[in-house]
Amino acid sequence: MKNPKRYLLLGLVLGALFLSSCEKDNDFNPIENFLYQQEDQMARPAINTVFVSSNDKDAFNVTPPSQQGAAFASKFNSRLLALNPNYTTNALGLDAATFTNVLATDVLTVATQQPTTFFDGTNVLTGRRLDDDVISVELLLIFGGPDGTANPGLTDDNVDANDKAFLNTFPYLASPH
Amino acid sequence: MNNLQGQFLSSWPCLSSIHIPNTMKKLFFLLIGIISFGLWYYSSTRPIVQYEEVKPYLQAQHYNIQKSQLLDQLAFWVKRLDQQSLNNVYQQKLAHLQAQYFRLTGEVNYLRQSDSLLLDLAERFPNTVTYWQGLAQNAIAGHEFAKADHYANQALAIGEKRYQSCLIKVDVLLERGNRQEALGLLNGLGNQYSFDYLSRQVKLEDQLGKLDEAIHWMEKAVSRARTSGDSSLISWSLANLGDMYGHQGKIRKSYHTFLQALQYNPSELHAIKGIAWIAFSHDKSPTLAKEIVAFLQSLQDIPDYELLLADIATYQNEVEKAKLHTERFVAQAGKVEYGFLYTRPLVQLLLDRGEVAEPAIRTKAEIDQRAHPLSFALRAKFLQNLGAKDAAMKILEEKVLGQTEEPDAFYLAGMIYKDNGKIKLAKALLKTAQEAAFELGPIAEIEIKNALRAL
Repeated sequence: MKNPKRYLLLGLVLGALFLSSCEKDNDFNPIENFLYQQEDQMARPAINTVFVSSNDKDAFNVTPPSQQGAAFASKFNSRLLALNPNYTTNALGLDAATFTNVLATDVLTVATQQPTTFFDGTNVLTGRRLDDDVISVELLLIFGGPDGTANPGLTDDNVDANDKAFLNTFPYLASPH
Repeated sequence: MNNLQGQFLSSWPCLSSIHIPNTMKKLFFLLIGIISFGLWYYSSTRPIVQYEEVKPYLQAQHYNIQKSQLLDQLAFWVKRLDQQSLNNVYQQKLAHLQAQYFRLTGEVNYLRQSDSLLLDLAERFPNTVTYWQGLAQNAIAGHEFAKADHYANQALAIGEKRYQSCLIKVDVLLERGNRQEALGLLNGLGNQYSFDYLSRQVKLEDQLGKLDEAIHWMEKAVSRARTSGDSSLISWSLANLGDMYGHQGKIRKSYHTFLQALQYNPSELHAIKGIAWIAFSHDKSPTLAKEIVAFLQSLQDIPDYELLLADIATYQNEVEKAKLHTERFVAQAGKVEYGFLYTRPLVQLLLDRGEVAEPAIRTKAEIDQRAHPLSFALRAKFLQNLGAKDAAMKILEEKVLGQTEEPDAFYLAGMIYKDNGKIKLAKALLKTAQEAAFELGPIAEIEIKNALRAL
C-alpha cells in the first residue's frame, strides 16, 4: 500500500462532511446560571405607592425591611410634610418623625393574641382583615390631626365596602367580576 | 501499516483478522469515501421541507381560536370602558390587548388605537412609567424609531422600572445602529440572566456580526423561555433561533427548529413563513413555497407575503405575475396607515424600478427614523441612481462599510462599487454577500453571481 493514509483521510473527511450535514440536534443544555431577583414588595396598602418617589421605587422594592427605615425615613418625612404641611401629631400621638419611621419599615405587623385588625378604634395594626377600611385609616392618620377631626374632606376615601361579598373559604377574595 | 490505520482496521474485526491484499484495502477505503460523499451530496441537495411534516400546521383552526379569544377579551374591556370612559385600568388593559392583536394579525389599526389610548393615559398620568414603556414598544413595532427613542427617554427619566426601560432603550439603539451605546447600557444592567436580557444580548451579538455568539445566547434564551412554560414565548424564541440557524447556513437545523416552534404554538406564523422561505430559497420548490404563503395570506392581510410571491414569480420567470405582486406590495405597503412600517423594502423596490421622487422622501425619512448603516446604503443607491456616483461612494465609506454586518448592505454596496468600476472592493463585498445567499434569496443570489462573473 503506497499511501493508504490518503484514502483513509478521504474517507474520514467525507464521512465527517456527511455527519456534519445531519443537523437534527435540537436539545439545548439547560441554562447553567439561574438567578431569581426580587422585583417588588408591599405590606401596608398604598404606603409604597404614596410615599416612595418614582426615582426611589426600584431601590425601595429590593431593600430588606430591616434597612428601609434608615434608608427612607427622612424621605417619608418630607413627603408627609409635603402632603400635610400642618401635620403635628396624629390620632396615635405620633409626631412626624416617629410616624414616618414606622411607615418606612413597610411590614404588616401581626399580634397573635389580639383581634386581627388594621385599626378598629382600640387595636392598632394587629394585622389586616380583607374588609378593613385601610385607606381611610391611613388618610385619617396622615390628615386627621391629633383627634382625627382635621381636614375632614381628606380623611375618608368614601369606599366603605367591597362591591362584591368576600368568600368565607379560601381564597376569601371575591371572584373577579 | 501505521498505528492509526491499525486502530481503524481493528475496529473492523473481519478486516483485522483476515489477510486482505493491499489493492482490496485501497478499494475498501475508496468505497467508503465514495459512499460517504454520495450520502453527503444527497443529504445536502435533497429537499429539506417535507410536506407531510408541515401539512398539520397549514390549518387555520388554532390561529382562529387565538384570534377569537383575543377579540372576546377586547370586547370585554371595550364594554367596561363604555361604562367608565376615563378609567385608566380599563384603558391600559385595552391598549395592551390591542397591541397584542396587532402582533397576531398584523392589523395596523389596532396598533394605532392602542397608541391613542396610551397617549391619553400618558398625558393624564405623566409619571406612570408603564404608559411610556408601552408607547415606546408600540413605536418600535410601527418602525417609528425617533418617537420610540423619545418615549424610552421619558420612561428612563421617571426612574421606576428602570430595567425594562433600559432594555427598551437598547432595542431602539440597536435599530438605529448605535451598537456601542447599546453595549454600554446592557453591560450596566444588574440581572443578566433574564429572558428579556438574553434576547437583547442576542440582537447585539448579531449586529456585531458574531453570529455564533448570538446563537449561543439565543439557545440560552430558549432554555430560559422553556422554564417559564409560556408556549408562545417558547415558540417565539424557537422561531428566532430557526432564523439564525438559517443565517448560519444550517438550513436543516433551522427547519427542525421551526417545526419545534410550531409544536409549542401552531399559530407561530413566523416559523411557517421561515419554512416557506426554506422551501423556496434552499429547496427551490416554488410550488410548495407558494402553497404555504397562500395559507399565510388566508390568515393575515399584510403586504409582506406579496414581496415573497414576487420573488418566487421572478424565479419562475413569470414576469407578469412578479409585476402584479410587486404592484400589490407597493400599493398596500405605501398606505398611510402603515406609516414607516415598510419603508425599507418599499424603498428598495422603488429604487430597483428606477423611481426618484418617492425614494428621495422615503430614504430621508428612514434615516431620520433610524440612522442605521443599512438606511445609508439605501440612500447611496438612491444617489447612484441619480448619477451622483461620488456622493454615493462617499456615503458608503462614511456610514456603511465596517459599520454593519447586514448582508443587504454588502449587496447594495457591492453593486454600487461594481457599477462605478471599483472592481476589487466590489468583488470583496459581493463575495461576502454571497455567503448569505440563503438569507438574501435566490433572486439576489443570481444577481450576485452574474455581477461577480462580469467583474
